[in-house]
Amino acid sequence: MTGAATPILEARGVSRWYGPVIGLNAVNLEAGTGLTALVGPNGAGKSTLLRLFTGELRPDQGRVRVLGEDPWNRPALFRRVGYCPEQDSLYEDMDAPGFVAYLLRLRGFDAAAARTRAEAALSSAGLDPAAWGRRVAGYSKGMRQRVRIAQAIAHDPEVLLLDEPLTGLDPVGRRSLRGLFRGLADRGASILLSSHVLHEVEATTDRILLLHRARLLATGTVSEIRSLLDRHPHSVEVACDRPRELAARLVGLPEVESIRVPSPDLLVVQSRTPQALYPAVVRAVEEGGHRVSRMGSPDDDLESVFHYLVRR
Amino acid sequence: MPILEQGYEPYRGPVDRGAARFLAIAGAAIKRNRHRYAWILLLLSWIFGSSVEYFFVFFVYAVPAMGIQGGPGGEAFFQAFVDHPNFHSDMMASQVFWALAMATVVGAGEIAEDFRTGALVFYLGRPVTRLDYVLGKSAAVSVAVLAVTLAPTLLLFCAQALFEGSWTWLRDHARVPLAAATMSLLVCVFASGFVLGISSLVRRRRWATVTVVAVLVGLTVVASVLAPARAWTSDREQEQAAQAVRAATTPEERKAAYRRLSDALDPLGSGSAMAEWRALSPGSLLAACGRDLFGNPLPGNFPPGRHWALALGVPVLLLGVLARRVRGVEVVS
Amino acid sequence: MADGPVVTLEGVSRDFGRVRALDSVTLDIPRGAVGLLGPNGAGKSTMLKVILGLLPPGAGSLRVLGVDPVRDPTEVRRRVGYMPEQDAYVTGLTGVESVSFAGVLSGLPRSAAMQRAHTVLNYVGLEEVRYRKVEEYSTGMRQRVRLAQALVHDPELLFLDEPTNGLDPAGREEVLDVVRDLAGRHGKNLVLCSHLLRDVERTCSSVVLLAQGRVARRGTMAEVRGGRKDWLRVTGRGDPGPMEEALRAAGCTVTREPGHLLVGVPAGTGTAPVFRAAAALPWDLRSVGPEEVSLEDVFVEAVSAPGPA
Repeated sequence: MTGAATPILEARGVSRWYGPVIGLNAVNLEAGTGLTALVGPNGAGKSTLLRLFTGELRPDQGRVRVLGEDPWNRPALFRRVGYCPEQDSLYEDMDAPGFVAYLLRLRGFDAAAARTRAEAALSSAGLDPAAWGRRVAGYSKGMRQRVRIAQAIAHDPEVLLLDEPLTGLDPVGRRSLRGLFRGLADRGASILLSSHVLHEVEATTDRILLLHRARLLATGTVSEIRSLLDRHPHSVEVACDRPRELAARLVGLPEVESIRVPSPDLLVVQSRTPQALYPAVVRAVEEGGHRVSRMGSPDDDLESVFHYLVRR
Repeated sequence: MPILEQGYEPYRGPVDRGAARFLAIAGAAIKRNRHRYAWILLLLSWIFGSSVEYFFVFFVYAVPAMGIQGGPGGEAFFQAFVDHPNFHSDMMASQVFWALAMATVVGAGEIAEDFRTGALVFYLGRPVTRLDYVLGKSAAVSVAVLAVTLAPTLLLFCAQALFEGSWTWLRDHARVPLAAATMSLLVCVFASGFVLGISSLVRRRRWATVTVVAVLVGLTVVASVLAPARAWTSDREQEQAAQAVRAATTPEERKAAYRRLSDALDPLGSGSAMAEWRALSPGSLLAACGRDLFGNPLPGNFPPGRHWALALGVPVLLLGVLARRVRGVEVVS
Repeated sequence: MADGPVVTLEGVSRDFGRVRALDSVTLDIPRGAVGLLGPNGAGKSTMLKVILGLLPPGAGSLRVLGVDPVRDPTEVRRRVGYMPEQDAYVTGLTGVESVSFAGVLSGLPRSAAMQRAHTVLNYVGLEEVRYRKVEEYSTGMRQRVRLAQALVHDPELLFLDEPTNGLDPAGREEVLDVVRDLAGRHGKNLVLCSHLLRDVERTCSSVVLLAQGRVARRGTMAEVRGGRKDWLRVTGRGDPGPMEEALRAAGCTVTREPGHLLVGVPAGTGTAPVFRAAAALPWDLRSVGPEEVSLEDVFVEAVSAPGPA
């Protein structure tokens, strides 16, 4: 589900330095409604980009637009945008609902509404109500993360900017919050989420923006990016009986670049043209009557694409 | 980055199960405290802490040896102080302040810093006991304290012995090095317990230092206000002693007179009605224990006995606090 | 001790005030690479502290590599390497000094500790940076130092607590490569605690799952994830319709799932029908394999309805 005619988040020719260190280098990208993932190695520029969208930073070059406006110094926009930062900086002495309500009041809600929304947001974020009375200073990492998420969603923002929102959470928490974000995206929010955990990204998001060395390296839907896989050297593993026989059948084919038999029941074929390779393997298996217990590629996931693109 | 290029190698060498681990911990603590200002402080402590005594000894021994004549009464003046049985214990008493200062510099932030960076988690994940940890940190603080207390005192004693050059003197003053060592040990224990114990209660290094300093200064100020040292109050004895000095004609009379003056200026004595509160100040507390160790008399109105209980009880209590704080650390979040 | 489990717990319980952090846990942690999973507050941290001898059990007994941590906690920590989740460094020391210090504290002679520190730092991939102070390191570098500190005394058993925390995919892969190398080629026993279940799936051979102070699931990775026999997971490119029909015609049951097909084959036929159908159509088949429940599904299911396995 890509964006509407005017993109909700837009960066044109954006560069940003920190002294001599480059944070972003002439980046052009956009995002619309739905859930867009921002991925890339550490230092690639993900956090910088998110902070440019929140208006915390100004680009040194180019321009940034959120909901059609420049987010710098724009308090009205503040109300329509939610941000969950990576750094941990909560007001230690407040309790969780108090903290979230306080931030809501800064956004213009009155005290009663702020309180109600704060509690609703904390419930959605999965913070155990039994812990609501305690000071934030006593919270575990996972609980603090949930407080940060709650303050980002409490005011029903149209735009949600999340910097590694799932760190510190256990698998159950990760799954339920992924569901939460997915739900918000389906209801029309525009979510930009940065993450290192690529298989989660694959499962939840619509589009992916891959940053590397401060530049945009690739962009597209999950399936588009995965089909990039077809253009890079690719290995296929076949766990079968008589792998050497199967190898003999395959080695003569032009699409096969290399074959390994690392163990008596495993064959690994490498190719630069996987679209041609797979059918060839299937045919060879059929012709030879091999009993195959498992066939697949360890490269067939986002992480491999990422690995390949980043290492190029 | 190819991380497998070197390959992993097993270790087949010896493993010492009984190793004195606390020494390694002390070494690490000392290493990280080789601040520039620790050395400056050390220098200052020598200059100011022990200087008076060194100064006197110089005039008693070195000056005549150089053939220079002191002024009339000059030699007697210095001799009275050097020969006074309180000489060495007073020297160590004046070092106590500097020892506590050094301990603060070296140790105040130690535990707090370890909490902050998770060094405690590091230590507890190794075959190190809490006792090793406490001993190690105390050893580090003690090195600094010994440099300020034992080293200059022993050095001075050796210089005196050399100048005196007689075995009888040495036999008469045999107690001094022993007492100096014991006193230094006492100051080490007190300083470690005090500084490290308080440091374990505060989370940040800066605040730990501030707290330790505040407590030390606070206690000393309160003690000085409630039971001001005699030297600061005008006292009949002082007047009389000063008069006697002026009236003395012969060198022996002068010596005796200066002796009386020195007694009248006893820093541990107090003319106030609340003289017991003198023991509140760590400096006076340790100085009093020093008097006992050197076999010197305590001023009449100094509370007897209690000072040992405090001097040993307080650090033991605070080291217990430290041990408890170390136990309460979260190893896994 | 060449065989047998590395850690055995028998009826171990431990309370924290009113909370029962460990509830009569009886468990054998097998050799090899074991994943220790569980929601926050399930008792993993407590179990780790009890195993390391930092906390005595309220009830029950345990043995770690044959040693009783209640009677001889320092011996346990001599034989075990622990890599904590959070920062654990001594300020004022450089990387190599830190690791060497760790070695000395574990009983290595000083020169051996220094030599070993360098070797281990090579292994974990910390190069010239090792001569700088640890305070100046990035997250990834500190993590490597912690791993080096856990390895310097060549322990038989390693506990790695969230070793890939905060690392990007490349960094995670490097750490997991080290874990696999240690478990595979060097025969080390590892217990890996992680919330990133995919990482656990790819490195560990067995799994222990704690929930609410009890063991909810345990077993080899295959046992815990095991799907049903004669059920296959099939993925490919293009419209799966024709493939579904062909498979049904061959006597299989086919269900379409998001991103793959779930195929139930007649008993004993294995993957043959799938290959036959794919070759005949032809259909762009990309992977075939036994149905496997993801570790995440196992986790979620175990945690919502915990029961001893």
